[in-house]
Amino acid sequence: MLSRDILSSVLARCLITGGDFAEIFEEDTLNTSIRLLDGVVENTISGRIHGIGIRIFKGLKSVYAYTNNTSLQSLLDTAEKAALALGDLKEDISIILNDKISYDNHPILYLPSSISLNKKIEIMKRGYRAAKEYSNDITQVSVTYLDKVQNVLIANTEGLLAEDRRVRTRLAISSVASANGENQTGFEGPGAHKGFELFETVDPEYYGREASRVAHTMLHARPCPAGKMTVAIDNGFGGVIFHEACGHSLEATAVAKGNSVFTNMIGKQIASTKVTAIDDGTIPNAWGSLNIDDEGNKTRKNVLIKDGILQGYLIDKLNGRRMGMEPTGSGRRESYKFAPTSRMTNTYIAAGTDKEEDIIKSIDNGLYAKKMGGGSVNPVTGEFNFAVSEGYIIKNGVIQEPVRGASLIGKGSEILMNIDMVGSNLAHGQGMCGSISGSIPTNVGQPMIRVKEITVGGR
Amino acid sequence: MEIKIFIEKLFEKAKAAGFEEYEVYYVDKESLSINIYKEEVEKYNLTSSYGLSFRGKVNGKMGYSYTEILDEDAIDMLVKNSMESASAIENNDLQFIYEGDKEYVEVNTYHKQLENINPNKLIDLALAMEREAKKLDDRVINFQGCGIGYSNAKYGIVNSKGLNLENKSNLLSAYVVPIIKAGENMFDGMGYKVAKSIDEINPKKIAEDGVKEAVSKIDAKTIASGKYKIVINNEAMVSLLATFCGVFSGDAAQKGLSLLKDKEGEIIASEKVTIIDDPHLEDGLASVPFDDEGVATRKKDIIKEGKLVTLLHNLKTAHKGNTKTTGNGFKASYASSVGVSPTNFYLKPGNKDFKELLKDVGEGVIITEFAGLHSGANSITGDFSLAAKGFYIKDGKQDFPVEQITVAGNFFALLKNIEEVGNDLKFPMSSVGSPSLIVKELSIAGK
Repeated sequence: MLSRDILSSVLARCLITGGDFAEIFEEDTLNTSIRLLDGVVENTISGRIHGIGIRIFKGLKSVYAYTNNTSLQSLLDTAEKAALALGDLKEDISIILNDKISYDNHPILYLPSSISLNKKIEIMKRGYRAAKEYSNDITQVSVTYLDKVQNVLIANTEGLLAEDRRVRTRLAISSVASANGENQTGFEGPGAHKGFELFETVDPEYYGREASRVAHTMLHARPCPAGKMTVAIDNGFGGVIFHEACGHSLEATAVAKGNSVFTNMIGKQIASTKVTAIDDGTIPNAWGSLNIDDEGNKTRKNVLIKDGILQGYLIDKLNGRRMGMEPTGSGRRESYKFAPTSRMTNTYIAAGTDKEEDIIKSIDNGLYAKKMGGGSVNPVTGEFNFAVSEGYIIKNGVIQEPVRGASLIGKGSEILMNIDMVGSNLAHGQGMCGSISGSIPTNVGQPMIRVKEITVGGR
Repeated sequence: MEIKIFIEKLFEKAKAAGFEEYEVYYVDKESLSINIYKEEVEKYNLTSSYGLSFRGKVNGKMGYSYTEILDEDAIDMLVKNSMESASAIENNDLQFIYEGDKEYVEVNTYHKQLENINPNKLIDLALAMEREAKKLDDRVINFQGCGIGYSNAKYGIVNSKGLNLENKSNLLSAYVVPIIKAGENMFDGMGYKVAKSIDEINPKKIAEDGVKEAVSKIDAKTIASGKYKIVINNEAMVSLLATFCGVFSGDAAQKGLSLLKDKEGEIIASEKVTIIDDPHLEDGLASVPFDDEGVATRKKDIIKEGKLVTLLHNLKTAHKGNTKTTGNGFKASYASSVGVSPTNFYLKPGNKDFKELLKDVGEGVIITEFAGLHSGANSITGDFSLAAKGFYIKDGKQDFPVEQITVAGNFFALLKNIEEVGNDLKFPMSSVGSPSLIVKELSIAGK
């Protein structure tokens, strides 16, 4: 990684045209991916990502530049080019960096580099066999294993010098069930901010069976009926509803310019009193956790909504300037190729007091969304959508036959008010979230919730 | 280290390590993008990046690795990782390093007139887009984005069979997303242009497109759930086609991940449907003389008047399927292994204009936008259930705007139910193109 002297001189060069803040983000990442198809290794790829991102602010204006050429001359040239976008040459200043800070709140037991490919492949094969043997109609199982060690170093003209190591491991199993010219799929993708010790708690057989169970169940399901219904959304990845319907609209990226429906709503009721929602980047070794964010701030537990009342937003440094608010440890980016902005980490609806069986019993005619797929949102209008990967009809308080192809749509401001029961079985699920600063690992989570009324797409 | 020397040294070490055949793929990219907010430059991004991937064959298995640093360590890492990678592979498919074709079509992907544009000219154009949008309608209260960007890329393949190919491309693009407030609600629209010279960027026209789209959504409402006759407009159809184009991959079919497996020669779509993959299309965003294996590309029909002519192949899948590669061996990124994907992929236009399509339908729904395609559409099953927006069609004409609906169906069934194809072929900032078309019936969920 870059030396203190190089960092200081490049940062100083950044401010030669009157910029008032500059930051260097250095990344050195090792990635491994392995793909298993039909039970045999299809390919494995590993490689190294390395580069520098330089960011300069002048008031609300920002310049971002990146390069892979990390020689001092190249960095100084890049800094100068970036600085010149903000104005003409002024004077030289010097930058003194503080002592380097590093944290280790997410200790790693077995670094991916210490584990042989064969051991990783053995885990995958266990998942594969369990998935394949689940049922005769499972025609294809693909298993992907990913690990990533991302070393980052962040320095800025306020003197900050911090480093972090993010180690993430994930197993993804996708099953296809086929009959009569039709396919259905099931997917499981457990992961954590962990090394190979992930598999001390993640049982590949369990996830293999789960992926195949969903594919098999959906193959024998009829299409979901369409219309407005009461819906029970189960725990874990079900939390994607909050992530899409509300989380993105609470990011400063949307709020700072007044483009979110939740702008200027702090202290106001935006959700039913049953809803408390939290973004917590400090959960030990969780998929979306980090010691520091990609601007060098310690991550925090941010309460976004308490008992339905909006408490705050997720704020990065630049948008914080526009809003006159402090950053919340939420500045994230996929890699040095992206300027950071406010993003989620591990976001969830906190456990409530309703009983899960009471939620099901309370529904006369509706849908039980047991597993959710991904979704998306337009923060300007608040319109969101997401896919139900495993759904069941509920009639007279009892779960009935499975239904396929359901999706849920609505507007964020409306759905939050419609969450009228919140269970206690809080759990988290892992996902990749895409936005302007790239694709980043995030957890979503919730206990089972009931949504009084929502539009269900189906046939 | 200089690239040429790096590759020489890498090849020496690869050979010494026991690789029988080997290849390097590299990409060198630069870009400048500028964002405007409230009459000022808000963001200015300057990027330069390099990526190199190596693949080598040993005992018939192909190992892969990549790096973004070109130093001695990287050479050793690439050789070691690829060797490890190759020895872990259990799949027995034959792998190929290609010696090259005799001829490659010249494809016009680089525009000299885009070199050395003064950034201030770009800033002025972006400022003008914002200004024009505000001038057009005083309900424009904000912007979700207003930007202009230039990028160029150079990529190439060098291998142990003597192949040494390079191609470069560049592009200018501009967009604006005005936000209109009407009552308590906000509506957005997007105007954009992909250009090969700066004169093609017309700020007024781009602003008009964005404002017009936003205004058209005002007072949208949902409609009753049920089955409707549907016009999918060109842009919405492109998003659907782009989502499902993976079903035409020979690789996906061989792996049991596409329902088109073994369907070559069969009728899979209505006779109105002809789908073409054309890597030599003038101004196509995916125009390319050779694929990522170095195979010369060519134009071909994928579906001709409803009949599936061929799936797309690379060298490996073609060999396995006992056919010839279609020149569609592409990588998702420089760091990926070679897969299969289309180039400029489009549905051939018919004769009727958009108004005639509406007249044919009489009563139904126009879909102008699908959302949530990455989660609500599944190319393995063909099923989709998507949030959508559009307009109601009454008396053969466009009526009120529609929002908060979902449209559900199956892509394979949809191909068969296309009743008419319009003449308004469009490639909306995309290498996938489509005209608007009429679908017999789809399920809508609303109120």
